[in-house]
Amino acid sequence: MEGLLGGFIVALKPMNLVFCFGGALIGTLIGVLPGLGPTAAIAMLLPLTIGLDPVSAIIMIAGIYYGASYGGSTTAILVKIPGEAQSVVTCLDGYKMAQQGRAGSAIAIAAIGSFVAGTVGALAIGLISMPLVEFAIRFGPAENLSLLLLGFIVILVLAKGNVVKSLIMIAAGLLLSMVGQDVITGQPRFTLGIPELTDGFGVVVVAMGIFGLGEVFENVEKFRTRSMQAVPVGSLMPTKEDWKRSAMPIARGSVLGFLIGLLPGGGATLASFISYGVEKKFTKHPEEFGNGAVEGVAGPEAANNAGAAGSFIPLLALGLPGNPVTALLLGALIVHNVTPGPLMIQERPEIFWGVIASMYVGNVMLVALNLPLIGIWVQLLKVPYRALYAALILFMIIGAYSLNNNPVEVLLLLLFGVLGYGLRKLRFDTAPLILAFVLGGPIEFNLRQTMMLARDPLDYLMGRPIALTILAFGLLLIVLPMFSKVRQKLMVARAVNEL
Amino acid sequence: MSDSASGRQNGLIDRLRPRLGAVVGIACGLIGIVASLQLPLGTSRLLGPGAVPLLLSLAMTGLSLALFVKPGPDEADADEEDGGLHGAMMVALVALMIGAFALLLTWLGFIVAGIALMYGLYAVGEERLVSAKALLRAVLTALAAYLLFVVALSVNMPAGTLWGY
Repeated sequence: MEGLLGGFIVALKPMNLVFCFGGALIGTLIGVLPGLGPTAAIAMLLPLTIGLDPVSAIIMIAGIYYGASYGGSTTAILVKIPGEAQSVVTCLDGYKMAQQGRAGSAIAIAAIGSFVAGTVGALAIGLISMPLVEFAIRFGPAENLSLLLLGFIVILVLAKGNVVKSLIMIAAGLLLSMVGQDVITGQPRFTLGIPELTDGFGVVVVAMGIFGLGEVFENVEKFRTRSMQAVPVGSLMPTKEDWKRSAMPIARGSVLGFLIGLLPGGGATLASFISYGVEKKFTKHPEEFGNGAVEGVAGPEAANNAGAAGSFIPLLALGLPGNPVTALLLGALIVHNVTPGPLMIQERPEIFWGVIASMYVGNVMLVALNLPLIGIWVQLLKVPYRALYAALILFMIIGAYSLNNNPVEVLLLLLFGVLGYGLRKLRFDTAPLILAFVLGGPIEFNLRQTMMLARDPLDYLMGRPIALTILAFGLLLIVLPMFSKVRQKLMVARAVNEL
Repeated sequence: MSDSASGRQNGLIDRLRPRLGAVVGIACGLIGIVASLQLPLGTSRLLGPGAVPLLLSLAMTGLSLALFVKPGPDEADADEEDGGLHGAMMVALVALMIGAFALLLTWLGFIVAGIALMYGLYAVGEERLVSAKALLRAVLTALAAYLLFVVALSVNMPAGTLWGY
């Protein structure tokens, strides 16, 4: 708790409050724009933080994250367009509530649920981080490698759709990360003699291109087909009944979301989906689910916020990003010469605890400042995307150029934007690619170090129980779903025989 | 284009789409294999710079081949709309304009190149080649961006060699 208090001292410094507020506000602004979620918002705004000191930069990026998530929920409720996957569930009942003239109530419950969950998340992080870090300090290259492999396994287990496609994306992301100097020998690889590629592709340009510009391209394609109609907001004050029905879903969503967020690959999206399912089981009004049940907004919104907080633990304590947003945060930390992992809490406690405390501060700001601003966000929704997209593109171009004051960065942004658009058209999920790109350097480095240390890799692994346990856990994650599939098939076969 | 022709075209795209990704993957994998083989591979204990990329390229080729043989069902979201050929052309036009901006930026300078890009993008948005409204918006956006980024945030954007800077 001492560390958390220290974090609050950092987060409450006037300068950091300004950056937290700025991040939350700009994040909400981008998040409110249809089709642009937290990942795209962070990717677009990363260049803005380059000149800041690392603590302020990370606090601002974290603010962008919460702001964009909050903005995404607003559009999910008002126009049924979720900013990102984590707000998809909110569309189901939130939009129905809006159609019934209860949009204001839904938005307020979402904000309050997020705030409560953020508080629970920040406190829980304070309690869990230290023991986890003390354990992780014993990690060597083999354990780090196992942990990184576990991250990939979880990404695969939870990946959307075709597993082969996700594997291809992981291979592509790892290959892209290998452009530039070799991590051990320093020899240039795949640079095609272009000096700008000697340092490899920058995570900012790759993320901004694939997530940001790729998403803008996809929206440009739908200029003619996409139409939006925002519904009136109504009163922001939830009714007594709404309060009563939301209290327990918010509490359950906070705890559940945090626990799911801890899992690599878990995070906000999975948390919101599971919370919706849980609330549907607990409710006394199951018939209202999908038709404007306030529990269907309160639970998932609390869960996705707590999940987001929980997903910071593997990132900050182990250096393991569990989802695209934390992968971008990892990239941002690396850009600022901060290496997340067990040693960070000892070497840079102000960043570790400052970010955690800023989550809480950011949530307070979102509730206190954004609820009165809902009217402005609704006005923004009325501006056609045809007019907004040009400014977004210019913003990204300036961001890319400013990284090295070089127009080649703009061309690379375009290249990755086209790649991101193409992958979306071919129905590839881009999240595994970006995760693999960010983890590519560490995974190759740890693999080659492990191979150097081990005379006989199998023998070496047998002497590393932590690495072995992590790998066994990963194997279990692959095998268990197979068994459940076999069981399902057997049950179907038995049922058919009985017929 | 008539509705039936457009429908036929979309049907063809939907049939080709699952395998097109696989073909691109195979091509990238093969390029990766050739490029990796140009680098030292090292030994099993001391892996060289080409070893890991070679393994990944082989994996990518193999996986893409598997996808080509068994592409699986198309994974479009139920409510996902497609912009069709018109949408794709809009994207291509926007991409071309960004490329041209990057190539001309140093020569023309940020303000002129920025106004030209913004005009192009607003004109695409309005789907009109000549538009006074688009020009006005372009000038205002580029100037606002200049004031915010160059003047207020000290981002070093080029002033243009054409004008002697």
